[in-house]
Amino acid sequence: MRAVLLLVAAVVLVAVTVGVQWWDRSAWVADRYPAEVIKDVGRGQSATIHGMSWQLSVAVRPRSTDDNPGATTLVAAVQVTPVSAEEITHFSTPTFEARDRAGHTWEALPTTTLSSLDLHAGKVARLTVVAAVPNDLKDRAELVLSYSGREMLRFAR
Amino acid sequence: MAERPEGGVTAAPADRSGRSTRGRRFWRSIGNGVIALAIGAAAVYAHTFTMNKDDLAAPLTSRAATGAVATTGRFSARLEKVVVAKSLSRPDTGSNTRIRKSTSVGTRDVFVVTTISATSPGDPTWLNQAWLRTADGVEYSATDRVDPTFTLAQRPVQNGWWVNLVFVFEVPPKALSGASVVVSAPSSNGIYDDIYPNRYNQLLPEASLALTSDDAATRRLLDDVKPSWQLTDGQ
Repeated sequence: MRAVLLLVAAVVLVAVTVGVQWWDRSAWVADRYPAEVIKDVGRGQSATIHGMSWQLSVAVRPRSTDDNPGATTLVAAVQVTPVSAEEITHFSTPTFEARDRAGHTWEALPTTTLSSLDLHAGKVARLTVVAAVPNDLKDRAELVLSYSGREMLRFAR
Repeated sequence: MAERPEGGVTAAPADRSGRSTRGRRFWRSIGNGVIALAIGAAAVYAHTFTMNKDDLAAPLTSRAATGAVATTGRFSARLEKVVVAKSLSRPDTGSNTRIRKSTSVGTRDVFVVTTISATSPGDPTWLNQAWLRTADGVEYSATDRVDPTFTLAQRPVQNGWWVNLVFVFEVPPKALSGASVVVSAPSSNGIYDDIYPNRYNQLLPEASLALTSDDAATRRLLDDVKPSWQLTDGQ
């Protein structure tokens, strides 16, 4: 009986020790790599983030001889409108990427950057973003704007 | 004949039983002590199982024969082409894209111009770290005598299509036998890589692509050394 109790106590102790370590590591990972928070924006709609209203439309660029045969270039015309003058001072150009809904991402680069000097409250400023995506996703790949993993806008095609 | 007192018949067995019980307890205590010492010693010894610096920085290597695809978790790569040359001709571009002249660079050894094709299963990946690893483990990094502008080795590797990346190595000819071209994706821990350089380099994926299939192929490669080789965008 005593041996059984000792065995049970040892098993419980090991289980608790492993459990605490697992919980602590999970909390560390969750803190360091938080889950993404993406806000979906309807086609042609705008969304506000950091005091800026964003809207964009995506077009497929006609193929050129320099294009990779497996890729198609998307060109996004991006419009940003400061909601108020207060937010302009802290403006920085966000990161863009193209995504599908299966977890793939592609690099998307602005051809120019905007600074606070280009922005005026209530007035539209424009930006062009270019991305290459696989040919079969040229009509489905969506552009995602992000300032961090928890501040993302996904624009529907 | 004197009689034994009552109970004397059982006194002797009781003493033997008591001594036997004490003896078992003694040996059990000794046994427990030995077990405890063994566990303690094993625990202390287990702490000597620490990895050295090289082990800690060891990558996860996927190997592939010449022309075959090496697949890692973050990218796939295959060796498309190898050229050995005594000098390289680099196009000089001006403010416009038209090539106006070229500059030639030579070497006392040989330039090994490797074209690697790569793709990614998920996120864009930059394979901007490459080495030529000899059969006995000596590593040569890609030469800095060719600007990445001319090799496009810094272009992203993305899902859905293959891109060609060119890496140029300047090595002695004897290094080619049994050598491999190794490409690796950098750590992707964001700002932590800046705060703690090389701290998170464990288990980085790398593809090791055999330069030639055998010694005969190496000899053929060295017999065909080009006096000059023109680098062009993407080869």
